[in-house]
Amino acid sequence: MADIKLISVYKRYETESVLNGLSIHVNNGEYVSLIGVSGCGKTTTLKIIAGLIKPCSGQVLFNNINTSKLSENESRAVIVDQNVLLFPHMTVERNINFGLRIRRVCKEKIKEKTEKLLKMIQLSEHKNKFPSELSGGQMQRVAIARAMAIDPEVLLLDEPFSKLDISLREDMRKFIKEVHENHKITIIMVTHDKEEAFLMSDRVAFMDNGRIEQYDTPENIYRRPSSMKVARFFGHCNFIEGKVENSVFTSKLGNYSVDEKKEGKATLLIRSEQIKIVNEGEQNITGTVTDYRYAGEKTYLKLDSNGVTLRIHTIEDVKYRLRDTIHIKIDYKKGVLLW
Amino acid sequence: MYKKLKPYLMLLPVMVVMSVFILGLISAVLQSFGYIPIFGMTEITLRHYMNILESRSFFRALAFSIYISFASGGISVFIGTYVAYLIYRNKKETLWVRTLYKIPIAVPHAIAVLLVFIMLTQSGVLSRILYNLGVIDNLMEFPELIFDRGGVGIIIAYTWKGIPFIIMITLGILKKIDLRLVDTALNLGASKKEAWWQVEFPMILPTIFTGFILLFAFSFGAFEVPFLIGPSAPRALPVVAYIQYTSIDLSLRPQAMVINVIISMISLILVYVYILAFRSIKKYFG
Amino acid sequence: MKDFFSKLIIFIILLPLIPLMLWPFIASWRWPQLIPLFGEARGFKHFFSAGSNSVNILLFSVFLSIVVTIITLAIALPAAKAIAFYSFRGKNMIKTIILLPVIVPMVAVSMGIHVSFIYLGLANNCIGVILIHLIPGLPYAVRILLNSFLLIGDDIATQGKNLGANSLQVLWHITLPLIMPGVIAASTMVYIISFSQYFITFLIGGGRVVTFSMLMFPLIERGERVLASTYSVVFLASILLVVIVGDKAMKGFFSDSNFLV
Repeated sequence: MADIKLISVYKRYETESVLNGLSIHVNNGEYVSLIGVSGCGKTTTLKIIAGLIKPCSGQVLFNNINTSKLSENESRAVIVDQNVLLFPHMTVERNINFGLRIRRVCKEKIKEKTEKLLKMIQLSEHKNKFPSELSGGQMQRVAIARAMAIDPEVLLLDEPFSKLDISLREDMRKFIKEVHENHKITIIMVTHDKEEAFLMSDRVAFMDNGRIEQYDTPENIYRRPSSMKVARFFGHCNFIEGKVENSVFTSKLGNYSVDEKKEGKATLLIRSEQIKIVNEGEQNITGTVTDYRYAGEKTYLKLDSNGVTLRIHTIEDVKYRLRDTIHIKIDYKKGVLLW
Repeated sequence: MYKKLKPYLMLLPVMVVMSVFILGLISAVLQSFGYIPIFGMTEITLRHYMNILESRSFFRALAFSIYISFASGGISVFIGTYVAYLIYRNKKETLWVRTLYKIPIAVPHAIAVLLVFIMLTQSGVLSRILYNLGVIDNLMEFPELIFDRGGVGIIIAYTWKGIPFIIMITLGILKKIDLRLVDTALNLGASKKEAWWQVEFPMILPTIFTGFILLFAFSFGAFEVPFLIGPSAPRALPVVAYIQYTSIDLSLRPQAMVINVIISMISLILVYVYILAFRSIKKYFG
Repeated sequence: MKDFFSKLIIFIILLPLIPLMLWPFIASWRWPQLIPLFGEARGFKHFFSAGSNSVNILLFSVFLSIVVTIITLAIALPAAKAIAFYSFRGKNMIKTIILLPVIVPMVAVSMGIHVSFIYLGLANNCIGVILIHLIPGLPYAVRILLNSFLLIGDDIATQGKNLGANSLQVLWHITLPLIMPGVIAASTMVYIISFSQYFITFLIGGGRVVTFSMLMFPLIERGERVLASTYSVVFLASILLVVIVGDKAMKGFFSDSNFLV
């Protein structure tokens, strides 16, 4: 069990700078997701924690001990890749106990542990099969058992479910959650799927350009994004330009009091689902439909109100037409001011 | 209907040629049983098999052939794999090294024999070098490496071609190993050395094994090298077969065929082993 | 250090080729001299002399092996394509049969079939020799082309058909250029194998069909250093020449500028 600290980590390659002063503190036993668009440095971060890549500068601390001097095979963080990477010439059993055999653990202990892990992943009858005989989900489970066999302090998952069928992903997520709960192990997962990050993690770290933009619980990162970038990544947004003065936010859509002492130009973030379509009389904004898209579960609408474009969605099964007039109510209390 | 037949039609020419091959084998079998109508021999008998299997010189020849093939194949594999490993590890190896080593593969065995003559006979280059270094005092002190009962010249000729061949196929398969597997092993605690022996080496083993089989099979059934620099006793099996085949005494013909059949049988076993090894390769590399 | 070892081994392996190339020019090289006495390229004189007929035999052998190569490739191409892209019953057995000549020696097979060849009038003439030469190279040609076909896949040809090309056009414009590296590798291999054959030419050809190998072999057998080396050098040089020229020719022929459609 370990608590991981990365302090001001930089990683540069000849053509680009992948990590630019990345700092993060993962607590003992926490489940943290690293999320962001492709190329933001998530996998590099994971590999640095795993010891497979050395940072150009900065510190990597496990329980406050600097691990950057350690060689690749002394890492206490095991990484499981989306490509699974089981050893093709070893059976399931030998793949799982590989780490134990390397560490010269005694035969009885190896047997005991392997049996336990096989039970945990529910593949006991397949122990003598080779990876070429397994399905994608089975291979992934073996990879995780192989990682767990050496009791790592940290389990690093690099987009573990991206190559699996959608139906399989849910089972695998449940499985990982169980492993996390039963073994109380620190898990750091890289994903580009925001729903997955929210479902699985204690905290989510949004990365952009080799740094962490925001690092918070799923609720906070969704409801209180620290920037437009973060806001946009995690859900549908409406950004309303305006000004704050004397705790009042003025914009083209009207004036609203806000609990904010700071003054100046600001953008108010209102998420699509925080705008409700109401009957005449209950509204605080009126707008005309400029676009609509029917997507089954929801209908996406674009409204124009006093020159401001709003994006909303509704689950009501109502047919809309262009230039319809719609009354909406914005819950300004749920809005977030971004400077 | 045509659609179904199409692959078979495409394979027709190759199967016609292969049928010549198979007919050759079948004919050898028939002749080994004494059935050679062209010579007026029409009675099927096991007599020739008995003759061969009761002959001590046959077994000496068989043992000699197996020894030669095993030794040359084995040495080629040991040195070849090691050199391939070194080239693989040293990423900066120049292009020269990577192309030059292949030359012996294109050189026919007869010329390889000539090279052995040039280098390793008592009047050869190595002997001269040793004299000038003061290691030997006269021609006779240099060991007889050709026409010798140990078959050293033969083994060297085969090994000269065998080592580059093994280097080539080993490098070929090493290139195909997903290096992320090595990273995974390191991440799980293996040292670089352990990663080699536990992951990379086992993965290339089936390929090296097929290389050994190819070298063994070729040298086992080859005529030229032992004919040119082999001892007069024991002789290699194909040479014995040839001598009996070209004998004026036509009644020895079936005996020659018995030897051919035995050579072919042993080779067919090797084919089977080869196929098994090949399956492992497919399993490891997809 | 280890690095040096691999270079050392390769150096040792290539070392014998140096004296080989010197011998044709040697007048005398008494033991234990390290440097020979060079003379007037006795070997080459002999080679080019009309009496030895060697140049003709060399040209004939090159021609024979080229014919063998062309026929082998022509047979191997459809076979490799069938194995690559079609599934059919007996596939594994056919693959195994094609593999056989690699492991089962030609020595036994050629002695076995010799009598039948004599009976069918295929012995002691070129046709029989060409036929027997087809066997050892085929497995390599099929295997190399099979890999090529598997690498490029079936889809591209289908795409061509979809754009309006007929089978022949697809073959010429799309398939052949794409498998060109494989064709070149296979041709080189088959040519060298055929050109190097001694025993089967000797047996089936009965001494009537004389290839360059058959000139060279007795010289080596008799231990005639100068002549054997000369013929060996010519042998290797001719292989190199044919392979280089063939490579350029095939690449040039199939580059797209040659197409008039």
